[in-house]
Amino acid sequence: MKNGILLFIGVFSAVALSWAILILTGFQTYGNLRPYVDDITGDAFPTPMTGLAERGRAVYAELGCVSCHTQQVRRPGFGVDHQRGWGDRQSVARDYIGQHQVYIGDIRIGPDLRNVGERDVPEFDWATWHHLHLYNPRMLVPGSLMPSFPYLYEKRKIVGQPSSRALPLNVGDGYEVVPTERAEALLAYLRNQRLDYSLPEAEDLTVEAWERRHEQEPE
Amino acid sequence: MTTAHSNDPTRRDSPYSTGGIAEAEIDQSTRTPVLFFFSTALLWLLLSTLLSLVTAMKLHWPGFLDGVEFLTYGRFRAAAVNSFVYGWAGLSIIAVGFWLLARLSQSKLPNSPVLLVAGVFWNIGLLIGIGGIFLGDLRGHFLLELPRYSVPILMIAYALVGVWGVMAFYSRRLRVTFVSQWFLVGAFFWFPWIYSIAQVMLFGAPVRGTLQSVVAAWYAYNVYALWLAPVALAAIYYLLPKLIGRPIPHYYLASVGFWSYALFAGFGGVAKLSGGPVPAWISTAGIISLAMLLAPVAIFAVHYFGTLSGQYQKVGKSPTLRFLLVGIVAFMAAQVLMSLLAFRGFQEVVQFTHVQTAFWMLCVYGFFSMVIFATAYFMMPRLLGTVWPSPTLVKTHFWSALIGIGLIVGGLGLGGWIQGARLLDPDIAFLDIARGTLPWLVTASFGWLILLIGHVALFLNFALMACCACLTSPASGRESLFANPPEMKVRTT
Ligand code: HEC
Repeated sequence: MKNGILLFIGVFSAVALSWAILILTGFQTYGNLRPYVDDITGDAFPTPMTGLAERGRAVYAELGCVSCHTQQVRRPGFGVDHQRGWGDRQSVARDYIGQHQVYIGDIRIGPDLRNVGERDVPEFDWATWHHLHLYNPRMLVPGSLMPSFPYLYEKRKIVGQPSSRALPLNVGDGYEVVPTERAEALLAYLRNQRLDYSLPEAEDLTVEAWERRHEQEPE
Repeated sequence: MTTAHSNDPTRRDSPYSTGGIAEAEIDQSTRTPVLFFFSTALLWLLLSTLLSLVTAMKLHWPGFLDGVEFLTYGRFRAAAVNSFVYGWAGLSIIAVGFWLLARLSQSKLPNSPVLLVAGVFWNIGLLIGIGGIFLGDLRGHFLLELPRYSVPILMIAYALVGVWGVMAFYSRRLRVTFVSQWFLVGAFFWFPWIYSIAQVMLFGAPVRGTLQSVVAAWYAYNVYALWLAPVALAAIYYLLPKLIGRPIPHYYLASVGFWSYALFAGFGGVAKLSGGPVPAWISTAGIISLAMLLAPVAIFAVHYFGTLSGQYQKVGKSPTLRFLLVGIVAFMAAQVLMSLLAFRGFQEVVQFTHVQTAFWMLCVYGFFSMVIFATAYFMMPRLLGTVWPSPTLVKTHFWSALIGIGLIVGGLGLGGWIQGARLLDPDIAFLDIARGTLPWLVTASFGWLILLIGHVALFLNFALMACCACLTSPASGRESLFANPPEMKVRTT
């Protein structure tokens, strides 16, 4: 019996240790980050998510986007994320505090999405491009490996005036395709994914800082 | 936890001795629950293989079953992974674990319906959970996708297993002295602990920001390192000396091996957060611990390969040993590569690529599943009192498993490395790189198809065997394909 209890205590402590060191200490050191308030403008960053974006977060989880996309930018010099246009600085812990569930992901079958909200699109306006892309990725990006999500859109008969929200698609006379509420929510969530503000702790992790260091110590 | 007795399987005071109760009697007491858990585990294995095949195909053939919400890639992947881990692995762990525990503690399992009720609950909870994933109630953290409402059912089921485990513990005759028992006790206790923590800290009262990612990484890796792996290691420690018929050399190192493994494994998961939006010391702790893990792994290597040395001719003859050897090699390879590739120079290449999937498969299939297969090939004839009906099906299973996992791990590992290297060149467009992985993804799909064939072979063989066992009364003196080596025969009677 004695043996058994010792074993039990040992086994318990082993896993408790990793929990205490990684998670409890993590909680102590950065579990309560506050938004950063710009002294001059008084703006707080990151901006909180709207209710619509929060619903979009649920759609993102529901459709399993996280199984193909990350939402974390690596610092310039560690990979080439910035040269791919995925963000000019590393994303840091504070960038995520407004999100109820954080999906940083761990595999990039598709591009990183951490700054997709500020990323330029090749044609149309931002929202239209993303709607069309979700509706059928291969329509805009030939050879894309992303699944299509047409069920986020509704094909319906035009009654009276065509809807102003209708997508620029030709789906037959008298019909139009409009985003459902879930599509709008998902887009609001994606729009919220941005890194276009600076944080003091990320100042060393920007492209400029990296380039400056690079100039000082050429290879 | 030092041991006074020898681990020599041929000695009376070894963990292999049954201390007076006939081994067959002990096996009989575990028969019903073990068969129930293992056969449902096999069904989950078949289902998850099928789901994984579709998932793999969707990656290189996006038009396949596209455009329907419940068939979308993310749901297939979550369903495949969760049915593998909580269905196949979770249920087979209970089957194998209790059989081993009963034998090692030299006592019959208390006869009680609690375990069966637990098994039924677990299966129902999981079925609801997988259904829920397809319906869109999945959640966004790896291995924690099962919907909210299925979690309490699984927890109740596991609590019943625990209650029952404690009962079995009190009725045991032997002190917990053999390394297999430590690993089993560890695994059975670690899982509910990490599972509850993850549920509370991610969903119950979610921690803030990327601390969630730390919890999620810690949990996902520990599912493997503190739940699946210990059970497989326990099985190796039990089966290997028994089948080879000689003691483990340098057995005194076992307690160092066990405790250092238990200590470092918990930290390993966060290594993958390198360069991520968490404080750097967290991933550093992970990298260091993965390197430290090489110490226990070296001890295990001394034990396993020491036992095997000079005895490799036996491997060709025993299917159990063949599966076991593949499992051991996969484990060593996975641990060494994992420690190596955790360093930041390598992480820059392999992070976020298909290499991650290759690792996952090497661990949970090449190592864990292979060892469970080995155990099943050894255990089932003894439980059912009959032989595996078809040696051809056993061979089919072995070669399919080996080739299938080789194609998946090799394809995704190599393809992922190339993908990672090309991603570091900003002049190559992202989509070109993604499309460049297509041949490798097709290779992996073939691997899954071959695995599926192997699993069907296993299932058929098992079903035939169960039928035979029902038809014929347990034949006592029948020679089994998986008989004990002659050295042991003398002792077990
Ligand atoms: C099977 C993996 C997969 C899944 C699942 C997936 N994507 Fe993608 N995604 C891709 C790939 C590959 C690309 C790159 C090709 C392209 O642009 O179509 C991409 C591109 C994108 C882009 C364009 C990024 C850019 O700026 O180029 C966005 C936005 C996006 N995905 C959002 C989503 C959302 C939202 C979901 C969930 C509803 C999702 N993806 C699910 C694979 C996937």
